[in-house]
Parts: sequence; structure tokens; C-alpha cells
Amino acid sequence: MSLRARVLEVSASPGEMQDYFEAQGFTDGLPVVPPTEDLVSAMIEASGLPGDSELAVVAPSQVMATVEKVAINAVMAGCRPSFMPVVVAALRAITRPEWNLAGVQGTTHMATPVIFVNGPIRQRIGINCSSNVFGQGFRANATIGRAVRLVLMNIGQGLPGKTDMATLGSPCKFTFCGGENEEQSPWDPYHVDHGMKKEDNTVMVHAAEGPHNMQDHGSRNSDELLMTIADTMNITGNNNAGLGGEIVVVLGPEHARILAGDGMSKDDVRRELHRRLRLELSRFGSGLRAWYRKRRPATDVGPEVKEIPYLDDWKQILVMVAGGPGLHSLIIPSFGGMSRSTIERIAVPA
Amino acid sequence: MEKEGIPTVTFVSPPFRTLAMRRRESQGLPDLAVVWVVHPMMNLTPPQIETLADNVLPDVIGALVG
Repeated sequence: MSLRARVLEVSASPGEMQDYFEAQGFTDGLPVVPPTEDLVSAMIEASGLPGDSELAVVAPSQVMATVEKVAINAVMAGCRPSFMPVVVAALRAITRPEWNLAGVQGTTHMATPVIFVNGPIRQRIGINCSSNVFGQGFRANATIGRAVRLVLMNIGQGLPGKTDMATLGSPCKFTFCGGENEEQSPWDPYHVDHGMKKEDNTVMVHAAEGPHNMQDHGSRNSDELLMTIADTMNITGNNNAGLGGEIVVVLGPEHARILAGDGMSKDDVRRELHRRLRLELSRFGSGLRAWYRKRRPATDVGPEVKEIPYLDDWKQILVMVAGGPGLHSLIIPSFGGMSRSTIERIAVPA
Repeated sequence: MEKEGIPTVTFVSPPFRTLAMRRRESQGLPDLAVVWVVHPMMNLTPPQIETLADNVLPDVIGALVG
């Protein structure tokens, strides 16, 4: 397969090679796999698409990401060829207008794509959905998210301190990818809720703040457990508080079973969390209150109003079931109302 | 707005210079007028905003009609 990319001659010494990649600005700070012609060609082939086929324009550079360019970054990230269709789908998901990639790339907020994978491809390519789903130890989780980050840096030119203006950033910006634990969930999986078939493969991508754990070893019924979850979600100093938008609630399977055991559907959980989540306006100082007033109409109320719904709509609470044994769940707040999560089918070549 | 023919000025503070310049290029608006303002500007008080506005007004007028 002939590639369009320029061929670079580099030192065969692993240390010198990595120093060169770093000096060229090709990396996320970690060493990368050298994107040799044979590895890139195999990655392109695994996409099922021609190398020159155009996938999406990536902000802020507005450069077109071709399959070949994405494949080069996927190799550098350490992906196996079988991961490539997931990387392609994730890129398509974050370049949909409602995801607002230009905003996410340039913002001072720490937002970064979190990629949730659904469907049988999870087992086929080894995406961890169980214990330590967002931790270390699994090549697919570690490198699919990293490949997307390298695309955002090398094609989109989201460069720290220059065009990626995150004040603090987040360790999740290296990689943030996991699968829904469909097998341990008491409900239909996320993609089925969105009109897909169980055997379809999809990614859902959310512009994520860092995750926050929710430990509850004591609650034995849905009423008590929802109290813990709603209270943990009720943060003052994140973008959702004043700017609305979506929050992902990732329920550990044991917590999910407590809720389902009381007869609650996933939508019941979402509605009930929305009902309980109240934002006391006295928690904002006058300066922050004035700042939000201009940005989220729901906060523009008179002094007689003491509290408002934390989120405008129950559908802004997205529920996933993931992780292994244990009575933990987590929340993933977001960039706020400026971005909406997207779901994209993974096109797996026959 | 500039693309719709409405003369536009963008306020940028120095830490965001590279982002602003690259976005200007990538959006096909290399000549989009930029007026520089002090950083930070997000949490200024109303009197500080008025002072800032007074200070940059000549630049804004210059960029729009100059």
C-alpha cells in the first residue's frame, strides 16, 4: 500500500528516536510507537476504508483528518489494527457540530472526550468493562483514547498553552475510554436505549470533566442510594452547576441492581435524580451569579427564588453501567451546556 | 458575523494570542480585526469593565472604520 505521508528518516536508537518525536511535537509526552509504513498500512486496512478517504475536519486547525492520518496517530498511540474502527467512530462522534470540538479544544476548562463502547466489539478487541474500567492494564482502553488525543494534537493542533488553553488540564486527557458492562447491567445497554440493536457496535462520547467516585456501602434500597448519588452530583464549582449540560452517571453493577431491584427503570432513575438535584442559589456569590445569569437562562431569577433544578432536563442525566464487583459508582460532569454527547455506530469491516 | 458582512472586532487577551491567531487563519478570516485587552477580563467589576471599554474604544473605532 503506498502512503501519502512524508517518510522521515530517524535514528534506529529507541532513545534518540523518541527524543526526535518529542522535539517535533508529535507526542502527548509519553513515548510513541514509530509509525512505520507496514504498521500504518495494516491500520488503514483494518478501517475498511481507503487511506485517502476524508473522515472529518478537526478544530482548531480545521485540517481534514484522512484515514491515513488517523491511522498514523493510532499506530503512535499503540493501537492494534482491530481498534481502528473504534477510533474512527470516536472521531466522527466528536466532530459532530453539537459536540463543539472547537470549544472543547480551546477552552480553559479541562474537558476531554470520554469514550464509552457498546456492542460485541468490546469482547472481540478486549475493551475492559469490568473492574478498573477506567484504570490501567488494558491496551484497548489505554490506546483508543490516546489515539483520539494524538489526533486532536497532531491533526487538530490542540497544543497545551497555545491552542489548548486548559488552565489545569486533567490526567483523563491522556486517555479516557471504557466499555459498558452490558452483561452485568439489569437494564438494556445504552446504545439499545438509543434505537440501535444489541448486536450493533457504538461509541458514545461526552466532553468530560474528571470522574468523581460515589461510595455507598450502606444503602439497601433505591431511596437511600439515590440520596447519595444526587448529593454527590450536587457540586457548586463545576460547569454543570451554572451552565447546565449533561452529566454521566456510571453505576457500578451492584448499585444498578439495588435500583433495578426496587423496580426502577433507567429513565426512572434519571427522572428521580433530576427531581432531587436542586441548586440552592445562595451557594453562588453575587459575582458568579451575575456571570451565570448571562449564560444560563434558568439562573436568571429574582431574589424570591431560592433554588432551581440543577439541570434543565432529566434527559441531561445519562446513565451507564460499568465496572466490577463493589459498591461504588461514579459521576462524570461535563464541559456544560456548550457541548452535547454524541453516539456513533462503529463500522466494522466484514 | 464578519462572514455575513457585519464589520466585527474580536477582543483577545495576550495568553490567548496563539489560539486566536490560528483560529482566525483556520476560519479563513486572516484579516479579522483583533483588539487586545488586559488579562484576566472574565471577572472584572462593572467599573473596571467601563475603564477597559474607555481604554480600547479608540482601537475598536479604528478597527471598524480605519
